[in-house]
Amino acid sequence: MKKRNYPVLLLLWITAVLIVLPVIMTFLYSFFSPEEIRVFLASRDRYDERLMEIKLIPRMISLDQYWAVLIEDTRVLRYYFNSIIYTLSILAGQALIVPALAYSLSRFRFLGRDIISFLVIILVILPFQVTMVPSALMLRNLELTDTMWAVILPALASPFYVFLLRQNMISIPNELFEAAQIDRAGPVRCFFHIAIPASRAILGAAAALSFADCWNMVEQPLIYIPGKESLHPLSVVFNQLSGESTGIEFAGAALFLLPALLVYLFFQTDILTGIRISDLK
Amino acid sequence: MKRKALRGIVILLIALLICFFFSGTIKTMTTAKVKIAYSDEGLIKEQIPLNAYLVFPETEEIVADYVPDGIAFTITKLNVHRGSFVHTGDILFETEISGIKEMTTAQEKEYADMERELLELKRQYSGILFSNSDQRWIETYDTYLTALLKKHQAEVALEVVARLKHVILSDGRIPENITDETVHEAQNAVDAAATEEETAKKAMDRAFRAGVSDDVYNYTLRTRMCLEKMEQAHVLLVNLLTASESMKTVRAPHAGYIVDINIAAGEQWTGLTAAMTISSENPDCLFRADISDVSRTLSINLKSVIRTFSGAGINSSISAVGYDSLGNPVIDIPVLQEDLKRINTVNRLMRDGTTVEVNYISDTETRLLPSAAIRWGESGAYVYVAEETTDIFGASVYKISKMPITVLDEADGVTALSIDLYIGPVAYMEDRYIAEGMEVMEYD
Repeated sequence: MKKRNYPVLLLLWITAVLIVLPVIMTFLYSFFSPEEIRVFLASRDRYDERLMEIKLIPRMISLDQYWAVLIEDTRVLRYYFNSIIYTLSILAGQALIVPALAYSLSRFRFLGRDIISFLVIILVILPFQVTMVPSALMLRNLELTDTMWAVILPALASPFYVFLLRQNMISIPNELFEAAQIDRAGPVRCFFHIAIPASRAILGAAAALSFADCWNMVEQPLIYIPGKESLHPLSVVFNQLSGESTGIEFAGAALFLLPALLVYLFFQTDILTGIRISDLK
Repeated sequence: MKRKALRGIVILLIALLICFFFSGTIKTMTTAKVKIAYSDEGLIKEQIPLNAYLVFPETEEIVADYVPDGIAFTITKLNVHRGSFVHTGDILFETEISGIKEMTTAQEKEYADMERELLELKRQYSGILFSNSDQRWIETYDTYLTALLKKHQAEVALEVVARLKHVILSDGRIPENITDETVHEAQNAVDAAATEEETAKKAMDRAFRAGVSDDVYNYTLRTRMCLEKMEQAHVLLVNLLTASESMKTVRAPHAGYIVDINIAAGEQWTGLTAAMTISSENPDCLFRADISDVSRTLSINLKSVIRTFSGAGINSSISAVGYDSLGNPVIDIPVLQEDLKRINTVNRLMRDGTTVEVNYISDTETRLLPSAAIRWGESGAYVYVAEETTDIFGASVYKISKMPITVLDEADGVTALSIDLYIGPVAYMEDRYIAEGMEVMEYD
């Protein structure tokens, strides 16, 4: 029987609790009434007078925050749908482009392949701020600024996921493809019947990570859609919502967290498998 | 786990879609609806209804042509009423002198008595002879009586002048320090009359000392008294009969409306006061309205509408602004004589009046808002300014903010504010309670 390392286990538990605590508190506070939340938040900056209060139970469970977010002030809902539109569009676009690009870079030999692969790696390394300016200029020249396309199009061919998938497809044994070719399978059939199924785990992980990227993006909308606030996703607007407490931030945050949580649960196995396969851990 | 997560995503999406679909409807139901008013620059107008009475500016009083002293008329018949239109010569009313039979009988009896006494005196003093001294005495006696009367008249005149000049007489004479010429002239007249009276008295006394018999004295004085009384009775009789005949029927001196009647059948009338008042021929007709309760400053030429009994209107305008005999501020609105019948009967127009609507227009331009949009609080008047914003669905949403204002005027549901004050869209006629900071929507 394997002996348990209790100190490490304790440390892991503490770390897990510290990580999960904000999420739990967000959900708890979303059931406070807006007035109670406002009073509670107003007392946050007076730590010199008393110890920091941690309030976990509302005086009375209230759905007022959800009512306000979902019914009364539909701005949050609209931004929420903007987030959904951006995320689904980018994920759909990436689903079309990224696996195909990774497949071509991993399975075909053509002139400049290595240079392209190198550029992909370089783009992965480069921070967003470096590519932001040329992207913004190009979008302006294409007159796409202040449209949803300004956020969607640059994110379609994400180099990180191309690199991730390419690395995974390289590791697929050649025998599998050769066997398929013997059975008269062309490159497209090999792609759909060998490369994709063999990369399912890493695809799931990539989809989950890409979802998180899209769901949480802030800089891109702010830079590419500066003049049309109504097209911003909820992740951008959140800062404005919580800037001046309206008492509904926690319901908004809870709703914002929920899809990410569900997507993670959906891709949980794939993410873990993908990380294990791609040695990202 | 995957299935549960997928189910969760689907449920979340459906829930969000339902909320998204119904949120607009629920928000419309839960948001206060208001009307939005925009201020406008212009003149404030008000229709001021007034009760105006028909008046005739030029009138003539009906009084008796000749009234002997001590008599009164009895009104036997009254042929007109207030507001009647009469033509020249129409009989207005009929009178008779109260107790005229008794009065004429008494005067005739007095005359006959004096006649009899005169005959008796002539019989009694049939043998009397008038000597030269008797004739002289009679003449000086008449002169003395005339001088006495003249002196009395001069004394009365002096006292009147002295009283007017605030001079106090001493023993019937003015003090020496008085310099006023008028007073001195009056005093000189008194002195002259006194001298004349003294001279006449001396002459009469001299004539009397020359010898006047008692018969001559008595006959002369008594005869004179009888003749005087006969003359008085005669004159009075003539006057009575003249007045009786002349006032038997009182006729209209000219065509016109009977404006006022101060007599009634069976009543006594002295003849000296106006029995009735008649308008001038082809009179100017005016509607006069008391504007004591009107806060506006009404001026000449303001358009007005005179309401007829049927509700129709006759256009006119204010011709004069002033005060009536009681000191009340009034306005005059002229109307054509031929239009009077359309409005109502003249009598009713003079008695009850009719409605006149004056269209007041302010002199200066102001900022106008519906009065319903003005709210009053402890600190005065204010409006709810609606700042328009467009929500994410493109619908207009207004946010309410309070704006204090100063009301300059109010008329016919319109309030005037200072023209320098800029006011955005104003929310009013809300369907439920609204307060500052609330979001409202405009009625469809």
